[in-house]
Amino acid sequence: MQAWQIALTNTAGISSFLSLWAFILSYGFKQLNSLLCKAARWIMSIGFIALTLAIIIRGIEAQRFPLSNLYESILWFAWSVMGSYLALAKFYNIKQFGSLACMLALTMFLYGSWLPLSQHEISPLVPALVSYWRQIHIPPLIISYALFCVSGLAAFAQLFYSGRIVSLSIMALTVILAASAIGLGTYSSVESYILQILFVGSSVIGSYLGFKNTNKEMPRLVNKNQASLYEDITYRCVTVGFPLLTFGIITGGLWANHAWGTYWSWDPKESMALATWLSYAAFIHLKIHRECKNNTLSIVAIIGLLVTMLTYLGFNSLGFGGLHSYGRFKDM
Amino acid sequence: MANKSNYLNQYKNIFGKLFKTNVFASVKLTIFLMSTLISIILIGAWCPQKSQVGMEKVTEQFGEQNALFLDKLGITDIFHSNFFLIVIALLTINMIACSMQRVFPKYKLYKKPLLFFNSNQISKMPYVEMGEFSGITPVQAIDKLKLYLEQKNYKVNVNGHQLNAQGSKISKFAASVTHVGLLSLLFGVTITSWTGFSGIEPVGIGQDLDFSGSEHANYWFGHLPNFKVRLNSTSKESYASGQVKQWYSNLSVIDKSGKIVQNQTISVNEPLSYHGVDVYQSNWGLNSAQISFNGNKRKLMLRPMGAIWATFLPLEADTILIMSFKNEKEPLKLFAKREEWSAPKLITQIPLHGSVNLGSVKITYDKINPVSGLQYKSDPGLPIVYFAFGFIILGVMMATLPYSELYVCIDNSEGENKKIIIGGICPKAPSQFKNLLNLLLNSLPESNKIGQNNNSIQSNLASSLIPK
Repeated sequence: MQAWQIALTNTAGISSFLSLWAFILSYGFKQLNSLLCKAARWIMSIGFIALTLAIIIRGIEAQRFPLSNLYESILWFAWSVMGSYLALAKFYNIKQFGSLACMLALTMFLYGSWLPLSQHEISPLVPALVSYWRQIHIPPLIISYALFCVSGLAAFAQLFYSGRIVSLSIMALTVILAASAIGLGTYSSVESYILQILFVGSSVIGSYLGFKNTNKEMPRLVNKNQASLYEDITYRCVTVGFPLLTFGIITGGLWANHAWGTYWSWDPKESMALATWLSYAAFIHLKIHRECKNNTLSIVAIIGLLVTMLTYLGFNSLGFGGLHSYGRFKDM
Repeated sequence: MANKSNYLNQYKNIFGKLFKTNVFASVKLTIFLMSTLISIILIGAWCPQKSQVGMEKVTEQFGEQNALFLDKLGITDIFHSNFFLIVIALLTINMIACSMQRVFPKYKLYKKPLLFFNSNQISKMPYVEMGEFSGITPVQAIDKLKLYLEQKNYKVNVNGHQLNAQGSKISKFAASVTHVGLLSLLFGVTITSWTGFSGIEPVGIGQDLDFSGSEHANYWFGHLPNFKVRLNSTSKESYASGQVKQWYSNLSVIDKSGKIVQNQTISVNEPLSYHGVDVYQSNWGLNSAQISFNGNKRKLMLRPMGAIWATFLPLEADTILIMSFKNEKEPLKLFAKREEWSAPKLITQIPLHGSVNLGSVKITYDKINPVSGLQYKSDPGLPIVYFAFGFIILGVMMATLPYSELYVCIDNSEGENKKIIIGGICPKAPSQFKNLLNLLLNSLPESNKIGQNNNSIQSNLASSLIPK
């Protein structure tokens, strides 16, 4: 049973890798573009089915709902990224955006596979997690985080098709630096305060420069239809992710009230989920009330991506404490 | 006197201007306050909060000097700081002002029918498709479009050669429902703060929890219950690996006449509820052990040491006797530790009620006293909070649907080819909306597109169409 689960998870990881290459090749071979994109989507679909089966088998083997530690949450995250891309591809007929989705899923597979073996093993639950609330509270949160990340990627695509290459480059570098801080926090023994400075410093400076350069345009890259399409996708992902995040936070409150007698305790992870909620609430207000231009809104969506990264992986890997230690595996 | 009157007029003018310019109902203020709140939350999440983990944790993380500095700034208890409360209060005022001015008045528009617009007015809308068709009359074309839109769940009205339609009308009220939920949440939390209480106490077997050590807000006008909760028994369940699986406590609720009115075994995630008070299993431990030395009973206090509890008895200058306990059922483990030994050495194990002779001393393991960490609370505002949770979830789910308004006008002039203009607004999903406009045009026989207009910077007309 365990061998099947590992084989299926590996199949999903390899599918993301192959799919990514098919998308990359489709950029180079214009004549085969449509065929390669179709092949990439099929490969991704196979990976998605394999990962679905892997998660189900893990649940059967563990005799519980398979979402209780960082490794399992990463499988769910990758599953949500793949699923949301396939759904978007169906509704919006988008093609090469899949390369970004594949890259994100592949990064998560690699991140998960490098975690210590204790994370991969099926372990018994601590008393606090023995509750039916676990399967109600956690999946919507993980899926919402995945959707916010896809939304952030769509915002990058929007900046690209708007010709905002300077802003795009700054924000891409910012996300890479922030992700590096998380990676170093997970796999190295670099001091936590250095990583916190790297994450927060790059995010603040990058966001400021990103906003400042939104007016710098490269006209030859502008494709208004595509920019509008990705603006739409950015917002649609947020509008689906936001209710899921709300549901996840509220059910977390209900669970905490049921188990500990308080629905809110300002635990760091709880607080960060609220910060993420407020970030996307601000994004939605800006969008609906048309308070800023589309390119500026894309920067806001990418800042949302940074906040989501900090909430989902950052707080555990950058050395913050809290009750939600399921995502932690190093002694702090 | 005249000066005083001038000052009053001046203040009146300032406040009058504030309200006239809708300072409190401004979305810019909302964004500013949200950003401030996010910053405060990030700081609060970064710095351990002394109200949760104690000042020792802050000192451990930042050092004594830095911890004192952070404490002076109010960062170590930022969620109870005046600054935080002021931001929350301003956000509440902002939300009420926005709701009153823009969000709630939308209900007035619910039954108000959409207007019909002519070609010129439609051409100024954000998304416009212009085309021609032939083979059917304008009335037949309008009927065809009506059928198409109704299949897409649009609510359609027709007036001669003009048509208007609304999609996902319910999502117009998403903001209202969410705001009602958020305001109810604040109301519920306020009621709990003024009338509720909470606390946590370690309770031994046979002892009573009487809520006298409970905590409540400064401005409190609630009352403490007149019943007690007695701990009858408590136990720990472990996995084969030794990891804790669950803690259990059997509790009895005793009313003021001393009668047992409820009995229940609680565990983590399974609390006891009685007359608005909930009692939770928060943690578990071993408090003390009763050991006899040659028949002399002694109560030894235990210290938690990771997964076990232990007590230390100095025998000689360099020798310590250690008694270690895993839970209330397993035997006591007796260790000795001398300075020259790298680790304690196991001497023997004594089962509960068993004895061993150690030299001339007979040691008997008489009794172990577990202690159950019971947390309790009374939360009178909870029903309102749950109602608020429901409304917030409903509101944000309604917001996922993209509201759209669509207008069609067909030119009724003579000739084979009829001109048609289709336009509208859909701020949440413009790309899909533009596709719909195309599909509508293509659904007409022998149609061809003669123009397109994307007024991406929303026109004044479009802005006036969407009630803010």
